[in-house]
Amino acid sequence: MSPLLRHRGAVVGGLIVLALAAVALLAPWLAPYDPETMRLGENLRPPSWAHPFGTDSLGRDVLSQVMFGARISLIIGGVSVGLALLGGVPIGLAAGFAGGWLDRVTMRLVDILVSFPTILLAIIVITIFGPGLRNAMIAIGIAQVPLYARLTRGAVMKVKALDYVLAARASGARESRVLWRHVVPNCLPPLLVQSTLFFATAILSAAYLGFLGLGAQPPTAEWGTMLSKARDFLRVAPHVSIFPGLTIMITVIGLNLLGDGLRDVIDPRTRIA
Amino acid sequence: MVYKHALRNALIPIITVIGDQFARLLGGAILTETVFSWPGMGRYLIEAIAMRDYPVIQAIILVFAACFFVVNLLVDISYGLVDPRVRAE
Repeated sequence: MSPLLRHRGAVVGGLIVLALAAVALLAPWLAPYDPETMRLGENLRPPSWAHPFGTDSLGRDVLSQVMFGARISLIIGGVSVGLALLGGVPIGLAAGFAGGWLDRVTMRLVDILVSFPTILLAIIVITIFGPGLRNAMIAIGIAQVPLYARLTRGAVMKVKALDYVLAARASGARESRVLWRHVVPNCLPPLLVQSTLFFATAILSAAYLGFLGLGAQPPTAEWGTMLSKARDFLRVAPHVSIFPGLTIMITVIGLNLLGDGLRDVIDPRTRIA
Repeated sequence: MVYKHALRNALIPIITVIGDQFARLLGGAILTETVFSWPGMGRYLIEAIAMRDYPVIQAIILVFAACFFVVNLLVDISYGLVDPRVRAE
């Protein structure tokens, strides 16, 4: 743990992520206003003491909306990464561990899926299931399944060739024991790193889908949905778009810093002196 | 000297990044076209999704995937051109 604490980027990223998690958790107590209460008399107010981030076109407090949006973004990240792990890791494990025709067939299928840009794949899934926050999370999760499958397969292939696996086999361990006791635990570090980075991608993708009107629907305070509504007032009230946009940016930077830090610590080859 | 030996070896990661960026920009184009109301394929796709116009959606996604596929193929071919060691495998 201590090398991670000595890694400056990881510490900064970790603090940003912790702060975000705290805000998300405590949103009902931290937020100065209800995020959905409209005050039509005070719409599009610039930032002030009463409304630190200003108000949007329907007089809703932008700061409160951003705070509640943090909850949704964390849920999106968690659910989509969880789905991607649940779908991708077993495929990668099976392909990498079994090898042979199973490996060839599944990896060709994964190759086909990877040949779509991730966001396009998510849009395809949305087209099938229909727009909405829940479907957006499923879509982002599914879109990342092939990437996880590839990553897991690569990790399994690498671990499988190591001497301790040979030693375990030589001492009579059954295949299932080799897989669960020796291969799986040693494949986890790269998956952990990638999950942190995918968490950021998932939040960004959800904002992207929300912006296109394919993700969370109004009045849900999702950052991308907020941005897309605020776009119409960009000239008269830029603060309504600036603050959700900045929040997305800072969140993604934080997660990426943390992910890069984790990778530097876990994988010594990429460590910078 | 620099061009022949340094640039040639530095090109491989650059080509990889170009390939990745192309995919990202292709996805980004959908957003950009929607924001600025540019009548491109990306905005057509979003409108088609809103209208449930499935043939159009299928066609656009096929074209996007084909573009992406061709770029990746070019990336892989250019590895061979830049680094003869790749070709030997």
